Amino acid sequence: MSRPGAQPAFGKILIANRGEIALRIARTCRELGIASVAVYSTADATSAVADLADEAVCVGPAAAGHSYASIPAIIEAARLTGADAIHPGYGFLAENPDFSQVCADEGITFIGPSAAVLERFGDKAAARDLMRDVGLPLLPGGSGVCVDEADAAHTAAAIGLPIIVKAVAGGGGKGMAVAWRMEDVALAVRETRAAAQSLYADNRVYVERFLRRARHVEVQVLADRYGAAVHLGDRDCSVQRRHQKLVEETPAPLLADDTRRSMAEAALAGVKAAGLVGAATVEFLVDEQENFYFMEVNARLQVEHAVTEMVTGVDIVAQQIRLAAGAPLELEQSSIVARGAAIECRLNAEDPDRDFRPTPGTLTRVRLPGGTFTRVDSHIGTGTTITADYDSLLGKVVVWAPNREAAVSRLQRALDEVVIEGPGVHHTGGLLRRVLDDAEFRSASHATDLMPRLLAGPSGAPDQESDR
Amino acid sequence: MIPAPGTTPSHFSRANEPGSTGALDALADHARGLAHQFHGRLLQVTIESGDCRLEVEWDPSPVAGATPQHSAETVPSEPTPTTRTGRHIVTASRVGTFHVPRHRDEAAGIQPGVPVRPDTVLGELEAMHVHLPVLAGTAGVVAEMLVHDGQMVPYAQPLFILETGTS
Repeated sequence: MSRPGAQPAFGKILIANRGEIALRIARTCRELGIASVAVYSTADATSAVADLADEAVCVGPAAAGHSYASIPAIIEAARLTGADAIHPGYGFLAENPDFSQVCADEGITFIGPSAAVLERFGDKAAARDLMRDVGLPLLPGGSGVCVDEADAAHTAAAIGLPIIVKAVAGGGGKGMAVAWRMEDVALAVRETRAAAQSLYADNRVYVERFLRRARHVEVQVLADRYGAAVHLGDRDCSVQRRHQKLVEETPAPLLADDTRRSMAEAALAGVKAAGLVGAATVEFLVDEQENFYFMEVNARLQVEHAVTEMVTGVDIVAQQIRLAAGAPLELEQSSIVARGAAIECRLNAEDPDRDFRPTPGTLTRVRLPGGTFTRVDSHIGTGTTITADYDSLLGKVVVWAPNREAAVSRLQRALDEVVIEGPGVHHTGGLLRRVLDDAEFRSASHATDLMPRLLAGPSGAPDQESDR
Repeated sequence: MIPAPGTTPSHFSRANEPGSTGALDALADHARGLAHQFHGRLLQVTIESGDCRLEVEWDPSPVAGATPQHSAETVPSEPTPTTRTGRHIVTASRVGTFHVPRHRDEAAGIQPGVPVRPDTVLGELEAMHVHLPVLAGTAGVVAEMLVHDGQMVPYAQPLFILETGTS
């Protein structure tokens, strides 16, 4: 967007986030000639983004509710620094309709969808109904919100087991439970309600059929305020543990061209119907017959957006900024060509041998990979303290290669370079390496049951919550 | 703890107490509390009930033999009263705009040399039109005021330095 002579879209962008994504956004701001403001909590006083951004403001204590996720703190930080736009990254306030509205009221551009669109997608049951109206295929399920346990049992009897109970306010793989038997339905409802109340202060749930073996495939889209939208291809995110993605790749392997095209068209129809402006991801489940079913829309930047950038050459954050400033889409569908394959894996400070318990601590030695077509988005270095206050993502290793096989080899090589050490600190690099070595993964015949199988180990004991 | 040298008249005023019948009693209680809290020689106490005003004036120079009232801050084994000072930094509890207290008398009173109680309102922090008081948090004397009216501040920015201590 910063063509020679072109005025930057904004004078100053405040980045309402932390960690690797804050750093990633600050870098694009710098490339676009836009000043950036980092915010940090007292737990992140020595963060990399606070160093790299043009300005940094302490917005609160470690507790995210009083810092990164506090609307007054972020808005006042923008006023304090004179920022005219706020990029929320992912998580925290990224999909908060109130925040989007307050930004609008305060005359600050929210680099994301309007409050109305966020509400439309944030209510997963309503989003499901909207997508059904637009003609997107859905898994069999109840209509709208599930009233009570009896209602869920009734739905389960009608659509067949297993079912999955999901939080209406959920998303991103949180707040859901699977029932494999009728007698488990009530418990799944109760568990999901309790989790939803605690996570989102909204205990409404909905019910749909649970696919035993499915692939998670999502479509990246961009839309402008003039009604135009394009997609940037798909991503396969089937390597998940407890619905949290660990490895993502593009293009989704072994997908028939017709399926790919139909999913992209469905995704575009869905976001256009909802009036999206900006970037979003439309998530689908794909069964073994390549039937695909709408799951949810994430109207924000995704953690895994980098793989799409690697194959398309499109800086998605730059596009978000451009679209938020009111510019029309500069990309035409025919001009977007995905070349080769890209794979990302997420390094988390967790101990896979202890139920993925987060392992906070101070890093005494860090060596991150480099090399050909290898991108590392990470905020850590020697001396970085990983706190228990936030998610445990240490960074993402992303590689590109002309084809999937070469990309897997490159990612193996890159992962072998990773050294992250500190007293008490563990990371998931070794486990990710096992994923890349897995025969099913290498042949791209895997589905969302890969991680549960891998974690079951030789004893065959399943990861307890793998499909719950 | 208390500014020296010389005698600095100081005053302390309270916002209106609810209920007129108990106002005088409340003021009298405050006066008694203040008389115990500050260890200088008490010069004058003014109590009004019309607009619930309380003024206390004292000689801030330490009084030999004065009994420390802040037992928690006192080292019991000390044989003779000595002045023990410390610094307490009042920081911003949120990102926002600092305002001097809205009450005119309070606003005029918050300046270096002024004694404060833990619940003394030193100013307000406004964020998105919500005002929160900045409280002294401890008894002491304003040593430095590090902000000005209308200044925007980040979280944890030092706003005031108070000198605290017992004698």
